[in-house]
Amino acid sequence: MNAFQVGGITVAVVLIFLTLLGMRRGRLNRGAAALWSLLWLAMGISIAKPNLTVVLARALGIDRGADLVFYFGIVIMLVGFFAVMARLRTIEDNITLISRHIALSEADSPTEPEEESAPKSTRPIASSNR
Amino acid sequence: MSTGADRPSANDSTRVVTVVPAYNEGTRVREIVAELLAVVSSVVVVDDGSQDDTSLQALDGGATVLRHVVNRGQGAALQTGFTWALERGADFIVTFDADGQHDVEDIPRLLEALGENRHEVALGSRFLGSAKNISRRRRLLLRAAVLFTRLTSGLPLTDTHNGLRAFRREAASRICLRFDRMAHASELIDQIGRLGLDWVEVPVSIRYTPYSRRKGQGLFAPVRVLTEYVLGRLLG
Repeated sequence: MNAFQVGGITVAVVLIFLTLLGMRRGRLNRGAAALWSLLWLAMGISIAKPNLTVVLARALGIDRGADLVFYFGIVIMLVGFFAVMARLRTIEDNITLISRHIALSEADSPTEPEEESAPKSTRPIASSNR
Repeated sequence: MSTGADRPSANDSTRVVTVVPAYNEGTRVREIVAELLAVVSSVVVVDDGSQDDTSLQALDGGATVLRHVVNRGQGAALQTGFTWALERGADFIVTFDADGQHDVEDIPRLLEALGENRHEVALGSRFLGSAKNISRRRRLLLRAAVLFTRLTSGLPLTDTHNGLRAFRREAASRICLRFDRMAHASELIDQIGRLGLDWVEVPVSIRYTPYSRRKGQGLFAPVRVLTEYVLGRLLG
């Protein structure tokens, strides 16, 4: 085992530990913790046994193990990007909802209140079509 | 304009609320509000987090003011205005820009289209009416937007990014804008199509002034709008 493999496996183990710690502290739910742990485990295994990536790649019709790792990395990044965008969208929506709630709650009427000029919604409606 | 039994105007008992989304329009909004109050019964200015005195000017002009504490975009401001107007019993809701491009004289025509023919939504079209001093670039961009919106919504509109519109209460209550920024215009058309609302286009005048051009969208605005629209549709 070379220095890169020792370092890589160490990093993978540390990441798994931090993921499980995050789950224990309530920062990650079980599903997310499981997914991340699997990812770090796969990372560690592919560093410890690089030939496994070649076997898996060939089984999937891909020539090189490095290409498999590359494609897998791209897919993971796209999934992560989509998840972040969805989360951002939710945050933006919530900011708008909060801003709207405050705006509606603190509406400013002109100095001559609408109540004094008899808002037309309270007046008898001339047309009987409604 | 004559007042029939089913034609909304400022002089009968139907309640017409005009929603004016505004961002840093302190120099114009008071004048706009005064012009509007001569034609409609109620004006609500939605100050979208302005850094100037837009709110104060609008209030002094006679409008009700709703203020977003942070800038959210014109779409968000419109939806806030819709919500307020519906809560206060508006029979008809008109949307009107605060930059002076629209003509208040077009509002009765929009309302007449809703009242006389019982349409649910009246959309202003500068290409059926007039667009004074419009640049070639702007015209091309608007035409492209029309083509895009026809592909996405299927509605054969001639002007898809015109802020001058009128809605019957029932139609406005079914619309829910989630696109906060400029893509709301396309989202609105999509919803009109999806909800099967009875719409009509009405010729209106748009005047481009040096002020409105300065306030207008920059060179990359169409890219931003398209990105917002596509991402919004993808993310739901």
